[in-house]
Amino acid sequence: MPDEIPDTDQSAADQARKPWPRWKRFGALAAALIVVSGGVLVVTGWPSGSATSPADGPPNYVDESASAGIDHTYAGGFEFFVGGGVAAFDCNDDGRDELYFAGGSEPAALYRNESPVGGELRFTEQSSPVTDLTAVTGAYPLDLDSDGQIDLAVLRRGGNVVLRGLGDCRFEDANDSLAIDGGEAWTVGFSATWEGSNTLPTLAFGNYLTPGGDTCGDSRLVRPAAGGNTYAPPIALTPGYCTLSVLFSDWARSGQRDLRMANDRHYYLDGSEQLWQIAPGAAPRQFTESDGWRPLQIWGMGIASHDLTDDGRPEVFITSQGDNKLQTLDEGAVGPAYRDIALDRGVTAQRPFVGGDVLPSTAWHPEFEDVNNDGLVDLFVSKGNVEAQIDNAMRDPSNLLIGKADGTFVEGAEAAGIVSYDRTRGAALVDLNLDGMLDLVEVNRQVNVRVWRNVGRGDAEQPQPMGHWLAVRLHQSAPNVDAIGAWVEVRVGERTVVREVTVGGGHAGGKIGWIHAGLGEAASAEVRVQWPDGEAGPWMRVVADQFVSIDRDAAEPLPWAPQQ
Amino acid sequence: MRTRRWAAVAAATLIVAACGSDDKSADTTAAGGSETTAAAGGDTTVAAGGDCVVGVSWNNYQEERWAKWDEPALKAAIEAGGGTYISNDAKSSAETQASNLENLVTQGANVLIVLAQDGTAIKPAVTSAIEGGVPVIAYDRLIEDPAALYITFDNQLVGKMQAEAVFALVPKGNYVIIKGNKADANADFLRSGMELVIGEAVASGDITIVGEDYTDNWDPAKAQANMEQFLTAADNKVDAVLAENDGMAGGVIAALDAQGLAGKVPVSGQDGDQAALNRVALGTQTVDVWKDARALGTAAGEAALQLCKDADASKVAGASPFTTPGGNDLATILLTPIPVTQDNLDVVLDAGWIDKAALCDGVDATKVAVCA
Repeated sequence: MPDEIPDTDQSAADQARKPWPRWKRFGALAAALIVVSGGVLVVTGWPSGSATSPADGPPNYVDESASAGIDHTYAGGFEFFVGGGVAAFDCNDDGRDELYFAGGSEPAALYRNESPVGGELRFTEQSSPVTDLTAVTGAYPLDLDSDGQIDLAVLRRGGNVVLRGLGDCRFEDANDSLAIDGGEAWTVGFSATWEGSNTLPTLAFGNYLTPGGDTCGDSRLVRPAAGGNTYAPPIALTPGYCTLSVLFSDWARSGQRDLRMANDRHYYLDGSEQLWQIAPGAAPRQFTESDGWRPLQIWGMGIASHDLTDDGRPEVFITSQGDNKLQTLDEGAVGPAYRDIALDRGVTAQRPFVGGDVLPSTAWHPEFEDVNNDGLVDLFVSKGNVEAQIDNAMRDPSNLLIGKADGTFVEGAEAAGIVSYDRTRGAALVDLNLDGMLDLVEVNRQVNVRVWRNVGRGDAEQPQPMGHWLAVRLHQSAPNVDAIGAWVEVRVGERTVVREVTVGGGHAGGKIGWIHAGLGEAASAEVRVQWPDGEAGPWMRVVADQFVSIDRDAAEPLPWAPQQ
Repeated sequence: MRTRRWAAVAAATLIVAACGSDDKSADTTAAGGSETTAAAGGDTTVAAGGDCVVGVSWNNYQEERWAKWDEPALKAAIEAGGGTYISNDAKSSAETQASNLENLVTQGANVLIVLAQDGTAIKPAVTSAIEGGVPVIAYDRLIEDPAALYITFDNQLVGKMQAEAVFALVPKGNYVIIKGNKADANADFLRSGMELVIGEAVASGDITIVGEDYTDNWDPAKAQANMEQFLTAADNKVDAVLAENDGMAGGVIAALDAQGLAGKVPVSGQDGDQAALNRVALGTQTVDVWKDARALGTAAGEAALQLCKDADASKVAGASPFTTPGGNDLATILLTPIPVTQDNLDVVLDAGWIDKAALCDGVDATKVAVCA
């Protein structure tokens, strides 16, 4: 590894344009993670003297639900027990994330973010018949047509809708112009990836039960048609096992982004979690046991992906009822041979940690993010009873599991001040007031959305970050201007954290825009982008505590500052 | 298979944790990844004596039922036979339970009794134990390992008893059948037991089934909604209802009540839920098939002692082959449940399963002897 960043001219010449570099374990981390039989994890992953700070506790969160100006619930009966997502994205170019909430039987709602920088969270509803759709279960933001305006894939029970962003948070229905068949399925999951050099992304819609029936429907893969600017008829992904979350991810770091599905075993008899091989130009094909894929039967609700073992290949956290799963690839695995390490890492989170209810939890939306900026990723898991399932916990608060230096996680929601007993579904960890600390939004069944402002180790009057941070957004020329499928590498000292840029996963909702990294005590970091086609950019030094845009064609990152 | 909770303990399980509310399962636990139960008065030490060490893996010890009913019977049976009881609590985590099984064997268990949190997820650990020479009893919840011993109540017999009590009152007429969760094999076992009683009458036309459906998640509210629809479709001409459990029976009776039919139309149930037993006393529910957990504990304790001597499950007294939904033939002990009607409510009173105040709430004591 270079000790200093080469100057611009030299880096352009010397930069090895390597296709898909194989990720090598760092020598300093060679001691690695050893799992002793019986469940004790001995980790020496972080060398002493590393620039990362010792793990801190959770940050303080201030509940601003009453003052934020958001008045919205996820409503309805059985048809809206699942879903309830929120999409976070900037649609008016001020760098702040707007929020679009599914409403179930009630209309969905778009809220413009008007929070002052570093101040209290403030939103204003922006009504429009285009966005205030009913029967919305969730939504995912992406710039589908690469015109620089964020679009929305709106998932519904009975007809999905792609809304084209027109700027200034106005949208229009684009199903016809894109030749997208909204279908009639009960859709709760979504993911997108650009295959090859396609102009339009390939879309995956995760479908649940057949509406009005009690059998599982098939999910759908929607690929661009030959002409490139519209879509071909959907491809059924058969058999379907009542999917609730899907995610395109380059799980093997091979350059191919396959499609993982989280499925609800409550309704299938012979099903399993699924991983579909998605090779450009080829029909989708399921990985089977002969490929190394191990059948896993859970009540799969949401997917989150993050490399926790520093081997470059992401671990996958899947929410369920009772035990949540943390899947990691077997050492030296060639195919998708995953085993579970949730118990080892302390993230089973199988039942409420407070409130006295001893029955199993129901978990929905997971996210890996560094909420205390100590450089170690944390894990948020939203929770809440399906409705009134007596076999499962009723008082079921969301988890905020704080990552420790030894690779385990410790529950911190109580100390953070975010304990609630609402039936939470979708959620998002986003920096809503551009102060470098990730705030929390939770969508709830039948009660109001909650928002909490992250004030670090400070309080409402005087927020104070607990560590340095960085926020990066990527840009490349069309198609795929937000570089979905890129890997962002952030290096501090001898440790590099990698993050895949994805659209999908979670439960019924996702986010796009600023990619957050906590840096702990480091006042700067080196950042490199591996672009979606595999080409790696140069390492760039970035000073901490700022927002930067990294443009593929620019030699330097471009700092961005919000207008107050 | 969704596991059904014992609603009788529903009200009592909201335990306010006294010694810290943190769920320790989030912490990296000590070597072995588990802890032996430290319930008040519980036996946590491994006795030096005793040839047969029985390791019991509870899925969720904090649910009131286990310590109150099953465990005392289990321990009594084990210790009466000179064995030693050790146990573990998986705290509703299937992963923890897998680790717990290893831990029990490490602690010296010669035989395991496993109350599965998730019968599918625990199977590899069970297979591993059996292959390592430690026989396993699947306690009440099926684990599809052909070499395990399965001890449960005879669910087909439960269905038969439900139908018998109702059929005795309504040998002819319109029936509604409210079944449990479709993906739950028990719903079909129960239905097959009902068929043994009413099948002939249905074939001959004496009985007409005017409504029959599964109920997602055994949900009482759903059962009520379904019953309302069936009543409407049949213009209220329903003479009997076979409901597969007490929770759903409650929903059914609410629907009947809205039409002025509660107490006039016989309804079945099972589980011995407090509210349901009260309904039996009141006369709105005809039968509540009760599974005495003590019988389960006793049977398992005795079977464990036998397995210590001979690990072959098929040799355990009272065991016979039973074909599971997964197509495996497991040596199985099927226990006989007790149909509770207005005539034998003393059974649940004497057992201490329900107290008189709860059983007789609102009951005319002159009409029901046990409430006098």
